[in-house]
Amino acid sequence: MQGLLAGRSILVVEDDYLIAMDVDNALRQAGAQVLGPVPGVAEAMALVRTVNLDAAVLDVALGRETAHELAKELRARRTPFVLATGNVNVAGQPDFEGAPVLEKPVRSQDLVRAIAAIVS
Amino acid sequence: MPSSEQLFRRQKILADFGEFALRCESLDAILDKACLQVAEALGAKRSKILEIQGDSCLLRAGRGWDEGLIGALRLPMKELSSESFAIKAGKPVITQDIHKEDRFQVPDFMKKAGIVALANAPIFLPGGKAYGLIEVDDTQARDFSEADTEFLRTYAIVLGPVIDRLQISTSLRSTEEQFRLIVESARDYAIFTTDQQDRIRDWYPGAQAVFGWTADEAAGEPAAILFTEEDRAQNEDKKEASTAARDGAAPDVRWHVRKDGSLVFIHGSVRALRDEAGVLLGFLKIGQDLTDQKRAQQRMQVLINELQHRGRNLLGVIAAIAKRTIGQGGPLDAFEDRLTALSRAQGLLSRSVMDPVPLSDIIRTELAAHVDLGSPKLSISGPSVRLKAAQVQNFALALHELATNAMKHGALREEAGLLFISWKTKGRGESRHLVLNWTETGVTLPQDAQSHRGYGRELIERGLGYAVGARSKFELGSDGVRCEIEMPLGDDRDQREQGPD
Repeated sequence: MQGLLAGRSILVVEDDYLIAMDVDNALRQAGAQVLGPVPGVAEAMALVRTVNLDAAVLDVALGRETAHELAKELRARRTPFVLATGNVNVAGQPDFEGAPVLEKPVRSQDLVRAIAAIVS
Repeated sequence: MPSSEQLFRRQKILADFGEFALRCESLDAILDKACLQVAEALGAKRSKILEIQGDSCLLRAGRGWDEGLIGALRLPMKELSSESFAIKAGKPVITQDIHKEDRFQVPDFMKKAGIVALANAPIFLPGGKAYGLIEVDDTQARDFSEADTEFLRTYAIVLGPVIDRLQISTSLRSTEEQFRLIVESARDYAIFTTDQQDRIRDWYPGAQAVFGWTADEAAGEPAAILFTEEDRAQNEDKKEASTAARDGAAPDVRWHVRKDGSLVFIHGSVRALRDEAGVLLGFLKIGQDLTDQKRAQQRMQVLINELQHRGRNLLGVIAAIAKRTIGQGGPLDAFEDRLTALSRAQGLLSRSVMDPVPLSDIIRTELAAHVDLGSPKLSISGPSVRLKAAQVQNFALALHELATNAMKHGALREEAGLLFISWKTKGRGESRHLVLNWTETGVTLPQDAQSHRGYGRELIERGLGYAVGARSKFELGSDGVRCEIEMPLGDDRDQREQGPD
């Protein structure tokens, strides 16, 4: 896994601290530069609009918000993203069309490979 | 031979009866009139009409008889009476003097009344079905003439179709009445009909109860007014009617719109109404209001999705804890302890899937796992505060780390140790905050105290701050840990009403 994401800037949006730290750790070990992790849409949107991103990891349910608006913004910027979610029915939602869906609990190596695939 | 005067009089009686029958809608009145007229025409004191009902015949109408007998007296058809004989014979029967009669027995009620002579004629309905008979009875021996029986026969022939018409209209009326009662008492069902163009025609009270429109308001309106804007845009109203026209019926299971614009969930069907030649007359629409059930079902689905999501998220959290504990060489029992703390937090959350959890419950549940809550070493105090579901899990895990450390190295281990947990709220409305203090005293700190508190401290200082916006101060005082957690609570009223999006 090491170096698979070397030099890539990856945004992590995840509302649960423990999972966010886990993802953060996994991506750093794969050589990525992690932006965030951030727990909500507003913080994520601020990063998306100000920083150059190679890809993003999105949790769909973010407290009382969802990642739909964020997904639209990323699409508009042609920034690829993967979904790491506990929601079972995100597949087929237009905002997320084409994005790989990883169901929680997500194994670190699966996440790293999925991101590597969309940034290459 | 009858006189021409008598013939004329009897003709007039028939004409009068015909005229009466045209205007009269009551079968009882018709039959009574007939009894009156035939008794008068044949110069007898008594007359009666018997109606066949199954295997007996009922004294349906009569003149000169005890009132109590009319509508009550039944003669069994199998007994060989003058009446059953006449009905079976199917033609007029005359007995000049019953004492000389050997064809049948005269019933007791006739004998008691002193009947001596009788003449009758059967009544047939159109199509030849026997209805009963009309009879005149006399207490004197009579010489009934052929003219008398011919008159009775003529009268019976006129009477048949009149009885038939009133019987049919009575049964139609009762069928219509029943239909009306059924349809109008079905208040949970919207029942209405539309014409070929699907414009509302008949609008029953159930439809008014379900949709809110009165019959006057609904009549003539297109059935499309009951469809949502989205369904109209998709031509769902037209598709439903054309499916019903093609297949005979179409299901109607969807949200509809009431007069006040609110939605009502209908489970029903549309049926094409056609005449005997198959020409489309319109549609019959029947639907049950299942709004309450649908809403309950939707809420259930939201809860199931929420549980599903929470369950999967929890697995992610467990995996993360496992990595941070065992993955970094920590002991297995530390992982198990954290898992049971997580499980306690889930227990509090599962009491109600969406409702906020009392802070004192979280604290007492966690502490009770380590120490007797009645212990003099422990003091827990604070006002009633509830945490949102999203705050509970991380808060409970942070408390677990504090409690575990207090057990191993702090106030709950030391002889002289004391633990004070107190909290208060500050601010109002949206800026309402919780301020919680965890204070240990009487503790002799080991040299490597800092390292023992790594995960707990991280959870408190960074974890609580991450998603729930808490600000925490964690310090090792000279005689134990002091920790202050300040956490936004939001509006109390919002908390109680919070639910799934």
